[in-house]
Amino acid sequence: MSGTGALSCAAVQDLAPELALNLVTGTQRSQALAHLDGCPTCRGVIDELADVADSLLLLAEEAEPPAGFTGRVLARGSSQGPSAYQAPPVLPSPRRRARLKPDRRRRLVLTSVAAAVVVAGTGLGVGLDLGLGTGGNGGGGFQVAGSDALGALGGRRLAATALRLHGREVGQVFVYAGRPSWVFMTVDTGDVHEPVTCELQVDGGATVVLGSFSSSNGYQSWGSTVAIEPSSIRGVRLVSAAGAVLASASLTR
Amino acid sequence: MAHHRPAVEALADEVLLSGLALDEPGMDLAFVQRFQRRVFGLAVSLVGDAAAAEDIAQEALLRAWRHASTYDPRRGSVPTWLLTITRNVAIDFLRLRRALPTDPEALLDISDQAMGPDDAAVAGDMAHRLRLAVAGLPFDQRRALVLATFYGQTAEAISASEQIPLGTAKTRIRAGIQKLRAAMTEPEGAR
Repeated sequence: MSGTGALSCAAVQDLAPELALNLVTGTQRSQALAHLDGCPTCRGVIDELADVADSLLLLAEEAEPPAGFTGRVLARGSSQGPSAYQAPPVLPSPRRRARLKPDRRRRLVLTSVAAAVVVAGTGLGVGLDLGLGTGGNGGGGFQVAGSDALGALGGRRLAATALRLHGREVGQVFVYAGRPSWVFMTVDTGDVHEPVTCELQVDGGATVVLGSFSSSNGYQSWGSTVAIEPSSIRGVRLVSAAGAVLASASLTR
Repeated sequence: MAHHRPAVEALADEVLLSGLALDEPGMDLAFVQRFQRRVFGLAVSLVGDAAAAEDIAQEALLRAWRHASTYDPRRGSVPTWLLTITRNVAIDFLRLRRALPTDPEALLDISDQAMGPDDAAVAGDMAHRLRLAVAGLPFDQRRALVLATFYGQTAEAISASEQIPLGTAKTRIRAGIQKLRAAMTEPEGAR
């Protein structure tokens, strides 16, 4: 593939070792990122090289830290608290930035939801493997039903799918059937600065208004318990105060 | 039916990290205990000083803890992510000192004796193949690759520190990593 950015495939692949090692800066880096954004072939090449480079770190010898090390780390971690720490986040390398994009948010949320279920399940003596570590929900959704962990938590089903606008993924929605049942979503509402209403389309074609939330900063997360049977929900729609559809999702039974 | 509570230690790395991000009880201790040897080992390899390595290892673990919610499995395994953070903290430390306190070649002890039982059992063939591939690199390429991967040195920096032309530095880095990739991706038994 070529012509997807300021650099050609040949130029990007010539730079691949340095890109994989995150040694490219400035304009050249920007141009390479622009190309990688639309070229899975080049991304694949850089991914392979970066995996090798990352693996080298794993070859460093392990060593026993000094006595009391664990306690000192825990003490510092506990005293600072999650919001007090101001260290900058670690920037992903170019190849990884290129492949994170919108899908990343879904993955993070899915991982957290999975962890919440698993952690809760751990306390009850059960575990749940959602299979999220290996990808596989490329269609934008998954369902878990009938697992021991969900059952132990009082849940029957957990479904997730993408919220889309004109075919573009703008968020994710989760529907949990349990006690209580709930709907939770993360969504990028763009430049909308007005209340957003969440509507549920249910079996038979009826529409149920679940609630509203304010939208001011683009990326939002919101949720609510639902009084209706979750398995009857066929779709989720977010509508602006002016009546414009901001995002929608379909759910299968 | 009675359930047996599975040990936190048995959780997958990714789940442990997610539990840490959610502030679940016991996850902090399990996280630190699981990874502290790897993190401290890399830190002490990079800076060669136990006291400094402890500061670096603490900072790396805390940084990972604070940013646990940003971890994405597609960005690599948890150990790789954590060791990358450790390396970055160490690089910041070394830049302040403007020195490389350790011999770059010593970082990759390529002898089979350096491979511990965990390597054999967990990393197994992958680690062994990578060690062999590293051992098979010409000295100059191995050194350039270590400087780039472990110390984040650009080709320009390697050119200056090794007193070689920029093009040579680039060639060594490129040739080194391409050879490793070839060794790691070729079918088993093709060597």
